[in-house]
Amino acid sequence: MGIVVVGGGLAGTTVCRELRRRHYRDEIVLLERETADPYDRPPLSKRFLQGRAEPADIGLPHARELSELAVRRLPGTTVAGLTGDAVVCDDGRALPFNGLVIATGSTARRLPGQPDVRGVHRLRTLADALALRRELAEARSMVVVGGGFIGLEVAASAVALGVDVTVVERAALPLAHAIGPVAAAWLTDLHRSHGVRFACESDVAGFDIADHGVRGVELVGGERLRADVVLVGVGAEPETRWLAGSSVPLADGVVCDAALRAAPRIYSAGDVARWDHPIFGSIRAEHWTTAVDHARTVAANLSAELAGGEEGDFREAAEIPYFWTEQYDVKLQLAGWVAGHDRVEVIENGKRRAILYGRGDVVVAAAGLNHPAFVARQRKAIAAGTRWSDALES
Amino acid sequence: MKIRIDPARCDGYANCVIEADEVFEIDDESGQASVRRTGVPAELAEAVRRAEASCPAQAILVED
Repeated sequence: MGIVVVGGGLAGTTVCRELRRRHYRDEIVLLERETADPYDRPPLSKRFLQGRAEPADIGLPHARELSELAVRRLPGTTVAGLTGDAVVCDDGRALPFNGLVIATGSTARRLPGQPDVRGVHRLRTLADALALRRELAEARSMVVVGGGFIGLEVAASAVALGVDVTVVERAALPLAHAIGPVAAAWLTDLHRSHGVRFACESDVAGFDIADHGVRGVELVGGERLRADVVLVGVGAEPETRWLAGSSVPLADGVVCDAALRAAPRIYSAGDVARWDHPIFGSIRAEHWTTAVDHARTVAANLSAELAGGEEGDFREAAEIPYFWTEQYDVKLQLAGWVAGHDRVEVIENGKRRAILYGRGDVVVAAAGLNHPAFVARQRKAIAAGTRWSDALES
Repeated sequence: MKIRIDPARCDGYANCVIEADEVFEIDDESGQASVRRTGVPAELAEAVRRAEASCPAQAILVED
């Protein structure tokens, strides 16, 4: 009996690699829901969708290492439940463990009443991206429901493919909750300059369907938008259904302490983990970098616990969350946590633009448009608890 | 320890600067990272390994 890692995405596969780096010698079993070899998700909405990358180009490099690392992979395995010391699969198999890592990620949300017809898509997996790419190649018009990161990245990719795009967004401005209104306006203006139309403060009432394929959507209020393809990008939910009724505490994710521990010998990493961040409190971050950061902390703490470690041997997941989005020729990078900020400072430096976000007297986030050096520098300042007034001077 | 950044792969994510700003820097103009020093002291080796593993573009090549 060894460690069972549930989830074959970036977090789960990186945990496996980090456990071996720490010389964990017992068995590691990796349960993967998908049958494709582990791959990187960020390109799915960008260069993969635009046809500039193929499945072989987006494989995770450490997926190749897993067999060398003597990780027992079980692809195509769906988990159904958790008992005291075993994971139960949907075919009834029980996999006992000494230590468990929950890295089941998140699932793209559906709209209420979303039909399963040709032309209506979500984007989460490689299979989703392949299906969407195939149809976009033939499409002339597209409606993106939800102006989040996935929705706007897909919109930019569709524009690159010559498709006419309308984004339907519930809020007055897409992304405002995630990056604040100033950066949100920058990105929306960028899309408009590429011909994307926005229907904000709008909601989809229904789908126009003919011959088992989508023809468009109808908005609340009656307006109809024509669309050969519809992408529903209305956020993701942590994949925790299989844990209902188990000993693992759930509240919009697996509830963990600062060390990413959910229960004795049970840890969580990546999108699915809600943890006590030492600076930002209880958060969940669906970021690439967070998956890697979590994987290191979980591997260190779980191997320490299994080796009989004491309280002081555990490290906290204190890294400052960091993510990027790429749309057209623009890369927006953001470090920190924007929710709850109460002040911003906008810095325009020639063609480069940046934003500092503050809460009370401290800096809590920094964003840059094609300004990676700024964001990397400020991430360090955020970790150091830099005062707002000192950050403005630097 | 020999460190190289493959310019064809580097896409300016800056994860390397975040992990080890003593070793890596990034240029806003080109959006490319570079190695700022030759010879990495032993105490930075672990940070360099972290940077290698944290590069979303797999652009960092480290040889012992």
